[in-house]
Amino acid sequence: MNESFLAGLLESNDIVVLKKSMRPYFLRLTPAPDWYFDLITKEEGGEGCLDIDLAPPFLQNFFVDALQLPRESEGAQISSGVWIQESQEEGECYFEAKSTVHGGTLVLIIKKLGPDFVRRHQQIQVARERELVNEKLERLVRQRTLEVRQREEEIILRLLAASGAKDDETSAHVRRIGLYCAEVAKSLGWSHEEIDNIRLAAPMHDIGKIGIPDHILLKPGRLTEDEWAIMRTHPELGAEMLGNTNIPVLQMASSISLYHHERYDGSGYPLGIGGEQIPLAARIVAIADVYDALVHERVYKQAVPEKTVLDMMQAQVGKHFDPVVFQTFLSCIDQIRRICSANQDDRHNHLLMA
Amino acid sequence: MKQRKICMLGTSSVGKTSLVRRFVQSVFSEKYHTTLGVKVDKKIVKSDGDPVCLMLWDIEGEDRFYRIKQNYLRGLAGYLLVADGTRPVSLDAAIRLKSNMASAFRDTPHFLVLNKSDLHDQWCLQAADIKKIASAGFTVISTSAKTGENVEQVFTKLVELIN
Ligand SMILES: Nc1nc2c(ncn2[C@@H]2O[C@H](COP(=O)(O)OP(=O)(O)OP(=O)(O)O)[C@@H](O)[C@H]2O)c(=O)[nH]1
Ligand SMILES: [Fe+2]
Ligand SMILES: [Fe+2]
Ligand SMILES: [Mg+2]
Repeated sequence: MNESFLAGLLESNDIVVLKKSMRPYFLRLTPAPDWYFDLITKEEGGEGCLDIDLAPPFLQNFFVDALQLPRESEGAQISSGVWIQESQEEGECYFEAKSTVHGGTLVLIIKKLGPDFVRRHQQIQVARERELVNEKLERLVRQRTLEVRQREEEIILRLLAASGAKDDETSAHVRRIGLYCAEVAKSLGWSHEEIDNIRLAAPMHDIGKIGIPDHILLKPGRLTEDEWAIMRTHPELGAEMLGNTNIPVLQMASSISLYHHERYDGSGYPLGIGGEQIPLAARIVAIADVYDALVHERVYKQAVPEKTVLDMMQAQVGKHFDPVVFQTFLSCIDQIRRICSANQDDRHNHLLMA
Repeated sequence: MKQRKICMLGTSSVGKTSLVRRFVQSVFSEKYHTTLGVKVDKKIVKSDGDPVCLMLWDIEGEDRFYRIKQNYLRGLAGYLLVADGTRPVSLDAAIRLKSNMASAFRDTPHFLVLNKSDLHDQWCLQAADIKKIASAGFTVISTSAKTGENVEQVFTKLVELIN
């Protein structure tokens, strides 16, 4: 063993150097500071002998790695990482062991960590505490945002219920539309925020109907050509009511209102645009709205069995409906059904209808 | 005497050290003193009437400052994945840790320990979190290092599984 290598280490009182000897021993090459005997209690095999099997468990575990260091790998070094040992006088002490091959011999260096390490500990302590505070703040913000969202949602749905009370759009219907659309949007990979937006925006698709005179909106029989023409202004009325804003959810609602009667083949109204020109949100709503209207009973019609509804809608793929969106709708039909049965007409609605 | 190695795993500040201290020394401190590295404690328990020496490896919490060395898990007989019910992110960390365990430990006995049950009114696990726990296939035990609730039990149950 190189003398100067050892001499360098010898000066330090926080290091003990040992070399591999006959199993199960390591032989101590440097004086033993007091702390060393807190670690290994006593040198069973005679002075300077460290019996691997009697070492602290952490160190024993490290020996397994150390003993695997090939003797040819001169200079290679592995570290145990830090471990903590309780001492009578000082309480918790921190140690680290390193193993290296020197002159073909396996050398073990045990170091008691000093002030540098205490500083590092302090830094990490502070960093972790700060992280906890940040985490808590984030949690609070998220929760508050959720509460605000829920409040918005409640306000929107109540106003909608009030505005739709005259005609057949029940509050349960508009809520279901929102939930169906959110489900489809999720399947299409939309962001959380956009999914929230469509859930709130979709229920407003027919809000323009509050601008349609009652004698047309509530007319029991067939509408005349002129009456139809007025009825067909509801998408634009709604878009105007909701538009001209920089609130994303209202922007989306305005666009949904404007385009929800467009058809994929361009035969819809008010603009007669088709395909991808119709905003995706409106293409989703068109499907959700038709589905929900058909499977439920209305004043003027019976409920249609769901299978028939889906067949009828399938026949409209590429004509009324976007093929990809309809496919996606079908792929989440189980969730759609669950939403449907969990959101039937509620007390709130009956009150408003009374 | 039989020796059995048990590791405390989880992200930082979930109460790994506190659980060990409660179990071994019957004490608890409100002050957070983060563990750097590893501390091994011993405690002798009875299992089927025979004494077993538990080696409790309290390992620094895995987070952005620390990655657990796989070498520390060598000889593992069982482990506790600790999460803090008031911190949903700690649950995600526990699930991640479990899925990162080497295949050799796939069948090693373990529990998900939801700690800080004394703060139950501040727990904020959502239905989605409960679902995550179920699909990760955990057996869950809720504990409090502060009151001692279920602490003894969680270790005893683990020892029963190990033997
Ligand atoms: N109320 C309450 N506080 C707890 C409980 N367990 C731990 N704590 C507190 O949570 C903080 C962190 O506890 P530790 O035991 O240090 O957590 P750890 O998992 O060892 O953290 P690291 O060592 O940093 O990985 C401390 O302030 C503890 O007092 C508990 O059951 N209830
Ligand atoms: Fe409409
Ligand atoms: Fe509708
Ligand atoms: Mg700790």
